[in-house]
Amino acid sequence: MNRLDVNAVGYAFGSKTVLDGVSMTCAEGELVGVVGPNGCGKTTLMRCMAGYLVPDAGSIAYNGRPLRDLPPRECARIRAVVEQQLVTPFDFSVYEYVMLGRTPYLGRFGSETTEDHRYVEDALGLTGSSPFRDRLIGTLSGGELQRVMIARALAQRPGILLLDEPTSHLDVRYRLEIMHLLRDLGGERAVVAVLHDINDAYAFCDRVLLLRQAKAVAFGPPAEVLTAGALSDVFGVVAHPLEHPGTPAPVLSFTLPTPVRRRRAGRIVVIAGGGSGRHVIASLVHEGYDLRVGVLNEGDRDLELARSLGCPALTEPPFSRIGQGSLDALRDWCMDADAIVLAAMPVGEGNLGNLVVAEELLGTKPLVLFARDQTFGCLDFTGGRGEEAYRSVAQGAPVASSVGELLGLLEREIPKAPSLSGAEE
Amino acid sequence: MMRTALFCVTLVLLLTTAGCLQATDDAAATLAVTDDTGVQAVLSTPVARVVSLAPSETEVVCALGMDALLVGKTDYCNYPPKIEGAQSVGGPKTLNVEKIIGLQPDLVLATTVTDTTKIEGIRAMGIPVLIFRLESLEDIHRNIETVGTVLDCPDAAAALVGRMQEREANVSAARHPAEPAAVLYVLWDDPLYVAGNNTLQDDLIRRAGGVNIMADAEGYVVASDEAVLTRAPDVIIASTSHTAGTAPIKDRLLARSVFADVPAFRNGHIVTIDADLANRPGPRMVDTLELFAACINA
Amino acid sequence: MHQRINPLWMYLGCSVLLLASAVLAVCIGESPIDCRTVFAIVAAHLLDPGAGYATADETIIMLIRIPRVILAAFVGASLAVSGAVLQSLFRNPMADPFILGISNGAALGASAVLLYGVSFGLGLFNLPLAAFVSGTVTILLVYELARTGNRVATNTLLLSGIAASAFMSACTSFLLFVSNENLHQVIFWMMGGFAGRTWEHVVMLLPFTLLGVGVFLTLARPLNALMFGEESALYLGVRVERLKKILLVVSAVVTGAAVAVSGIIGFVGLIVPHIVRLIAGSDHRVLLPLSVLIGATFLILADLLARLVIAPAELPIGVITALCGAPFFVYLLRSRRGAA
Repeated sequence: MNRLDVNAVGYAFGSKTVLDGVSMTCAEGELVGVVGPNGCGKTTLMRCMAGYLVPDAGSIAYNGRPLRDLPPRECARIRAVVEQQLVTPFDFSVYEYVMLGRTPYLGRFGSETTEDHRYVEDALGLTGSSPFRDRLIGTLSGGELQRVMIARALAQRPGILLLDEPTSHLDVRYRLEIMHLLRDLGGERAVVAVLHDINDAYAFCDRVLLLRQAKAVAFGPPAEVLTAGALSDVFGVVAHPLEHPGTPAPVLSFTLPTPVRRRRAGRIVVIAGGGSGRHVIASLVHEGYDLRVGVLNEGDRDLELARSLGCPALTEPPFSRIGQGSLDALRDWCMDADAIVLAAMPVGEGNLGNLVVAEELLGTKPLVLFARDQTFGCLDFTGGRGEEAYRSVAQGAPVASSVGELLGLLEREIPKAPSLSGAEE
Repeated sequence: MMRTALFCVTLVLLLTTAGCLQATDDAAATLAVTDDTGVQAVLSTPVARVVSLAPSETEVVCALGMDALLVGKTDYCNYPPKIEGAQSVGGPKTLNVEKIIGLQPDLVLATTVTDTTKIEGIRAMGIPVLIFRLESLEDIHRNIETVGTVLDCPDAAAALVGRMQEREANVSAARHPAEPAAVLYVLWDDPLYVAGNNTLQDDLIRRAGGVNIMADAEGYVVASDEAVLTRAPDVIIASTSHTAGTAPIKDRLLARSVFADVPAFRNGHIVTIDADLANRPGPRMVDTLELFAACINA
Repeated sequence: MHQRINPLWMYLGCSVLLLASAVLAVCIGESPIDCRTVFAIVAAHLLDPGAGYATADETIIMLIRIPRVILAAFVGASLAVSGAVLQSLFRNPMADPFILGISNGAALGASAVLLYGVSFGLGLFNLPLAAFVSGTVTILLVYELARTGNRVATNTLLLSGIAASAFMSACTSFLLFVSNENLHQVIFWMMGGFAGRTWEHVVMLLPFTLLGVGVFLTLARPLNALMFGEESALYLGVRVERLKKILLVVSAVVTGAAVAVSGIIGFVGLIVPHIVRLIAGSDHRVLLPLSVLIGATFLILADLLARLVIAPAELPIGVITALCGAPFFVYLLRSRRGAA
């Protein structure tokens, strides 16, 4: 049974600690991803696992045998390493290069056996490198080169395969192909890959080690490790999980966190749905407004955005009609707010309540209708009541057709709110 | 090899520029002299301060009895052993131009072997430099006569040249064996660096009645062992250097078992001559000629 | 498409080439000896090794031309194979056997002997020994400078080599400058050549060349692994630090011995490995033996030309190696590029 054990490994370059008590395991059949921001110690961990660097503390074992007891040659029969890049000033053919993977099995003299050639062929086939087997290394594209490097590692017939950023320089197609290849390779091997792309780790790895400043933050299944909170902590970004029809796992999209600099103050309730509030919510949060979002069904795109930006929201279960309780709560929020923004959304029986609340509050509270145009008919799926409500709101309240316009109107509509822009500039 | 090339190239120049010395009598205070490199120097006469940048030129000046005019010489001017009033201005590679200029010479004497960048530096200060190309006894005679003219002692020069020519004639007149001896002149043994055509030593060998076995090579060259073996020299004359850290050149040559059957080796006709005497194109070259003749006709 | 000739054919071709140039170099020379006589002489002496050398022809063939050709072959092989190894060790196409300062170190030793009479009381072998010792000491010094603990970083090694080289060269220049005498001897030595070389020199170099070529050939596979970096080689099971040490020591000793008997012959160690790479690829199992064969052939022919061009005088062999090697190399480089 192939397995790699990393136990409380520590490493320092001089006085700089690069790894501090990092532990992880990778068993046969597993693809483990190592993820972390630049300089967190990923590559150093990889080099320790590979035996190039000797850890100052802790231990590493291949198949239960401590790495320090394994002679290099034996080591090379157990594990293979795919480095970040391949640099040589001299020309080598792809086949010759992949044959280097047989080095740990070959003596000083004597040539390769048919078995060696077969393993090389297998490796070329498995990585799809056979078509360019006779080309020179220097003439390969990035994707081809990456495959060839993996092929060389496979020719070593390793039980443990370590890869350092195997996809970092690749175009998206090559990247996905390589990731699929790695997942397939995991079948009979323990595969550990340092990954640059968090989505790759999320989508393809069985377990993920998240590193931050020399320390392991978490180690486990991607959904448990790569949470929005952890990613925000480690990478300093906001992660928005987006359901993706083509993959079982969600796709993460990243934005920078809201700037700390707040230019405007005021509490605003946004009534939106179905993505109509996307630009409004993001822009108002960035402008510094204290935002709350009106009643949305779970799974609504606007709700995902609001949550990822940390805005409180009133919710209902998916596809269900907005209940009276939520509408009451919305009304209370609105009464408490400095202004209300109604982002014109498709309206049906389920969410007509939102529109009704807005219409009721006309004249009571400053309200702005955000609508790209005034063709409300096509938003109405209630047989006229929705359109009617939109028209009355449009008559009683200012209408903004762009985010810029909206920001201008809000500034005017919230006269009491102290503007901090002067203090800034 | 550089030197060899230099000698080859300059041979042509030598042939075209020989005899260009001309004294202009109409201007009593100045004397225009064209040297062996074709450069005309205008001297103000009488010349009172001379710096010599070559041991051979030092010897010429002293042989003409003009030691008193010599204010500068090189570290390697070891003959005559002591020259009153002449300061050293460095060695061939370490000539100190500032010091030379500081001596305020009316005339600087040099040879084609002298460092030309240093000469340019001296000329740039308006100091006349005469450069002599010395590859035969004739060249040495001409050198002596020219120096005699510019130092205003033409009679002494004529007398010196006369004495030399007399001794040279004696050497040439001596009865030579019917079969002239094959001679090789060796400057250095590893590799064999020898005198070919148009070298001082080639001239000496001819005058002494020998045949230079390397006369078909131009200037100083590296000879192959094979050439030496094939050409079977009867006599080998080698110059000895003072500072070589290895065994004496004669022993080194004799240690070369390849040459065991070469007549000069077999008969022990390997003669060494002090390098200062053998390679310095001064008035004592006639002594060297007599030594050569003695070796070759022994 | 990248298709290479079967290495066996290349070995065969290069061996024939080597043999042919050796025969040519033995048959041609300053004195006209016809080939039949040459073969008769060689055959006679092969059958009766104890026989003396009755005629000048025999001496020329057996004591001058043959040792000279063999020495040229040994030196060419040593320099070419060392160059190939060091280029791979440093992963630097500009590397040659002299990159770590062995030539300048050896030149300093030779200058000390030639200019200042430093002597080991060995007569004829004073100079080779001084050159060998000072050359290899330079390399050891460079190695110590670059060593930290048990590891030697190749970049540091390269830089200390350059520094040591410059330092030794400055020392030699200083000696030359202040000495004024025997300059041409040092210059001759530094330009290298085989004039006046004998069987003794062949015997001196023989063990080093055999050792070097032998050791390098056994290391062909690890050397292949090393071409893609030390880390990469380690992952393929190569004991990198030990390999580096062996390569450095052996190449230093082999080059030192070659320099000791022939002076500094440039270009062979730099260009021959590249020529071989261009025609046979970078696999050391082919590269090293072919470098040995082509290096030997190249230097035999260069020496032949050096003897012939201005006969009876000789040119410094370095002039020939550069004059002939450089254009040929450029030609190969360009024709390859056009084909690729």
